[in-house]
Order: sequence, then C-alpha cells, then structure tokens
Amino acid sequence: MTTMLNGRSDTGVKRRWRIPPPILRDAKAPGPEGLAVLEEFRSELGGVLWKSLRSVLLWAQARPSERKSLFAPDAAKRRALDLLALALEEDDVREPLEMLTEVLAIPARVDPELVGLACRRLAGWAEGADAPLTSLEFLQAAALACPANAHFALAVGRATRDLAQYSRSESWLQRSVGLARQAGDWETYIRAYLGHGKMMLRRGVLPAARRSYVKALRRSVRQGLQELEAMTLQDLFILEDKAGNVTRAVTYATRAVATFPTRHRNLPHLAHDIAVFWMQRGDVEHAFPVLRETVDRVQERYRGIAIGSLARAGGHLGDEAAFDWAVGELERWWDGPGIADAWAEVARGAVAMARFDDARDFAQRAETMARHRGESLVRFEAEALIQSIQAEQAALESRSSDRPSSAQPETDQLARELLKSLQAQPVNA
Amino acid sequence: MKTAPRPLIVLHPDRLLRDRLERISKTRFRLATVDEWDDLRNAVAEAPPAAVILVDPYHGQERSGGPSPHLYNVLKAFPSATVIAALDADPARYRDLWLLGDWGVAEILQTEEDVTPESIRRRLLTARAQHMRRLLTHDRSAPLTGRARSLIDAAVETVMSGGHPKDLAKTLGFSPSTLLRWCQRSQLPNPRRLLLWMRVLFASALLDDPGHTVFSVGLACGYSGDQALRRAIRSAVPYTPTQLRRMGAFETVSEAFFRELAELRDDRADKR
Repeated sequence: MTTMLNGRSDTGVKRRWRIPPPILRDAKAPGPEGLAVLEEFRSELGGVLWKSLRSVLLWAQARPSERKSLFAPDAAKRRALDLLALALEEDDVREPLEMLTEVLAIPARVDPELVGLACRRLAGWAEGADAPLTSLEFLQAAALACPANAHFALAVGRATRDLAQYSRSESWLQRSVGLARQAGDWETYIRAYLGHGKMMLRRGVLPAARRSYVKALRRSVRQGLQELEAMTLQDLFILEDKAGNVTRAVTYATRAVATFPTRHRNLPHLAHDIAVFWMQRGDVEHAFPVLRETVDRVQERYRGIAIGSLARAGGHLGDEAAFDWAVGELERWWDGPGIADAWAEVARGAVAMARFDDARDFAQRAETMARHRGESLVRFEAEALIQSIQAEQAALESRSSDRPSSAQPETDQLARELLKSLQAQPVNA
Repeated sequence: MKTAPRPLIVLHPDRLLRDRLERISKTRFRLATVDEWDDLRNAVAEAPPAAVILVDPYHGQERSGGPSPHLYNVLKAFPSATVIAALDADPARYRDLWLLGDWGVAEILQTEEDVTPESIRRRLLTARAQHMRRLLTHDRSAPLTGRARSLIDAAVETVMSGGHPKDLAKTLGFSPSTLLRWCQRSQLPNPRRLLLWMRVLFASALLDDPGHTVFSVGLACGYSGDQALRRAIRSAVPYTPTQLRRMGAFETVSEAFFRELAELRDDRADKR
C-alpha cells in the first residue's frame, strides 16, 4: 500500500511525496492473520472478532475494483447469525461488529470512513478490556480502511511503539507525518513527530529524537499551536536532561512552564519531569512534595512512572513508608512503557536506604523488562546500577553524591509555583 | 531467471474447493491432490521446497477431536513448509483456530467465506513469505529502521514472486532511481544486491530443510539449477551449498547479511 502524495513547497514548486508501505505485522508473531485476537479472547466472541477483522483486512487491501467479488453472497447473513448467537449486550462491541457486516453485504459501496470508525470503536473497547494486541489489530484495520487518514496512522504508530514494536511503529509514524503534511493537518503532523521523538528517546537514539522534536517545535510555533508547543518544549527538556545538557534543559523547562495553559492536563507530567530533574541533581527536598502531588494527578498510564520517581525520592529522604507504599503500587503494573525505568528508580531509592538485596531485585527486574522491550537506555542504566550495587562501596558513594544539595532561590520559586498549580488541579478519580 | 509455478499440494475432501483452487492456480501454482496424510508426507518430502500445502486439519477424524495430530507431525517434520489450513471457521472453533496458528500453520482459508477466486488467491499469497520473515527477525544484532524493514519486507515479497529490482520499485510505487536513493538512505545494499541477498537467504532456509536436493532448491528460488544457485551463493558468501548445510545454512547466510548491513551503517549519519 504505497501512497503518492502531491504537495506544493513554499516556493510554489510542485513536489511529490512518497510514503513506503507500512509494516503490517510483527515479524515475531507469524501465523494466520489476526491470531493475536484469538489469543486474547479465547471465546466465541474471539472467533467473531477474528473473522470480522480478517474480512475488513481482506476488503481494505483489495483494490476498489476487486471488492465487489470478494465475499460469498451469503457471508453477511452468516456473520449476522454468528452475532445473534452471541447475544452481545455491550453496545461498544455489538454495534461496530454489526456495522462491519456491511463490508460483507455491500463491499463495493460501504463507506470506508464508517468502517474505519467501527474499527476504532472496537479498538477502544479492546483496550478497555485489557487486550492491547486486539486493540492494535483493529487500529491498524481502521488505518488500512482509510489509507489517507493521518490520525488513524498515528494511532497505529503509538500503539506499536507502546508494544515495543519499534520498526513497525516507525513506519506508521512516518506514514502519519506524510499524510498529515499532505492534508495540512498540522496537529497530527506535530504529534507524529513527537511520537517518533519519544520512541527514539526510549531507544536511546538521542540525535534522531532531537531532530523530530525540533521539527515539531518549529511547526507548532509557525502554526501558533500553543498547547503542542508546550508539550514539545517539555519533551525537549527531557531529552536535553538525558543528554546531560543542563543549561538547555532548564531553558526548555522554563519555557514549557510559561507556555502551558493553566490547569492543563499535561502540567502534572511537566511538574513530575522537573521534580525528577531536581532529584537527579540532589535536590530531593524540593522534588519530593512535588512528586507526591503529581502521583494522583497524572494520567493513569503514566502513574507507574510517577510512582517510581516517588519511591526514589522517598528512599533518598529515608521515608520508608512512602517507599514501601510506592513499591506496592508499582507491583500492579506488570509491563508497559516506562515501567522498566520506574523499577530502576525504585532500585535507586532502595540503594539510598541501604536495602541492597531489594535494590538488586528491583534493578534486575528493570533490566529484564527493558531488554524485553528493547529500551536500551534504561537497560544500560539498570546494568550499571546492578554493578554499582554489587560493589557496595560504590553504591554508598553514589548515595552520598545524591545527598540533598543547597537549593537555588529560583528553584524555590519554581517549586512553589508548581505546587500551587498542581494543588489547583483536581485529583484523578 | 525464470519463475516456475509453485506446487500446491492439496489434502482436502471438498471437491468444490479443489475446483476453485484449480481455477485460480493458472500460472502461479501447479495443483497436486493427495488422499491421505501418509501421501501428503511423501508428497511434501518429494516436492520442491517452495511448495504450498493446503489441508483439511480434521481429515480422517471427527471434528470434535480438534486438528489432526498428523498435521502436527507434518509441521514438525517440515518446519519451512508453507501450510494453509482450510476449514469452516465457525466461531465455536476458536480453540482449534488458535491451536493451528500455534502449531505453525501459515494461514487459514475460511471455506465458508473465502469462496471467491480473489479472496482465495489473497489468502494463498499472504502465506508465502511468512517463514522467511520470521527467520529474518531472529537476528537482532543489526536493528533496522522502520523504512529499512519496509524495504526488506517488500524485497521478500518480490523474491517470492520471482521479481527483479524494477518489480520491487513497482511494488513500492517508486521509480528505480527513487528506490536506489531510499536504499542508500536506509543504509541497505542497492536494490539488485538486496534482492540477491533475499534470494540467497531464501535458498539457505530451504537448504536447512532435510530431504531437499540442491537442484530442487535452485529451481524453487528461480535459478536454472544447482550451478546457477552455487554461483549466486558464491557472490554473497564464500561457501558451497553443501558447506552451508553443514554449518547451518540460514544462520550462516543471515549472519553474513547482517554483517554487510553493519558495514553499510554510518553511525554518524544516524539516518532514520
């Protein structure tokens, strides 16, 4: 599925954009198309979901001229009977599945947008049912049904990234960038670059991450998209922090705080990142109260990361209750983006409290998880951590270097501002 | 280089399905039917390794007992074989459907729905390149970018259909010069060499399958015979097919392929 796009450059010269076909399958998961659905739903519902998915994929990948003769004449009737036999009560799964029978009934005339939306709805339902692979399959089916929809392509890119299928994710994010550029959908364009940057950062490819973030920043400034500009500045702050460019990191953080609209839902994330930045430089006194306020305010999928940071801060302050509470909470996340990093943070907290056996276990858990997910930066950090724990003296030295340092007056000011903004925000239910 | 039709060995009692397969085969497949599991096993052992096998997973037994253990044995004995299971995919058979995938079946043909020539043709074609893709992911020493992975996936498809660089460009919707530029930007060998590697990798995967001659592997890969295959292999790795078999053909060739990719990699460029 290759899309050729025609665009016009600023100089008025007509250019053609070529987008290579995206990667449709995780090469490590061979076998019949959509097998993951049967793995996650071992029931007759799984059978119907699997068949519906395959019908959509077959239809979406056929040329429009071939679609008319793609299915048996009675296929729609059979599928409707299958659905009837299931007696589904949940609208979020019944309605889209009913819609998808249209693909079998009128394959030449069915509206691709409606097919795409039905698939997206099923993807959302599957995500809620803790079936990420099924969700991904339907997100991809939606993107294939509407091949010019940049937003749908972006969703596949993000989902594959979160499942650590990086090559596949990259191909979808690049596709999203190309489609969004063609349609002038700058919000999706920027989000696709942010998604790409985040993936590269997670893989430890900092120059590529920086390039993507800078492209996103330029475009958000040019289009006057303040919220996206603030989010990009936040990501650049994290990147420069990881790269060890402290001055640049502080500049981006300050710009991000100034750019975010008040009570923005991403503000707790920024506050978290700034607190971690302080903590890494030994200023745990300022970091801890900010982190405590962020844990219940960040979005659910980032909560694990915030808990990891809180554990580390608690460990450095010798607050065993806060540390143990955080470890107990983190146990609920068996896997996911950022969780390996969170366990590495917990290990650092344990080292600070001289609980070396626990620290070794936590660091090992972080290393295994990061290796499994291909998060090389976290993996190297966890390996280094394991080595430093093994040499007890080195660990103690590391602890002493992490002791609270004298805080700068401007840090006091920023910490007060962050706490005030956070306390003005509602706590998650 | 010529492309011979791939054998399609069918063990399925449904006459209607066999008629449909006959109609769609044309130049792509050469149909051969067998009646029992033992015949199938013999046919697979004698067939060129590029053969596609289509079976009724319940053949010779009650459907309530799940897929036949004979099928499991065939899949284990010929791990590189492309096996498609054709069955009525009633949602109530969800366990069997999953199990077939778990055993290593490449694709499922839903006999109640995939009845049109177009749908059957698509199911057969999607099954073809799976084995090769799976093997290629085993080596993680050279992580590939999304763009490079897309190009390699397309190259696998092209090799499976006996295509040339211009066919690869066509598959991707590029002009040959754009394809060349994309290969360079993705730090891959040029299109001609990339296809050569894919062909040699395909041949080496088949060489690892016991019971197949070098001659039949050569034919399956689109070469005129064993001599042409030997020459192609020599241009990629300094071994003969017999040496490769002894060393573990696919492992040796894929290592060499990823080594060449590593040599092409320019870390300073850090291109995506």
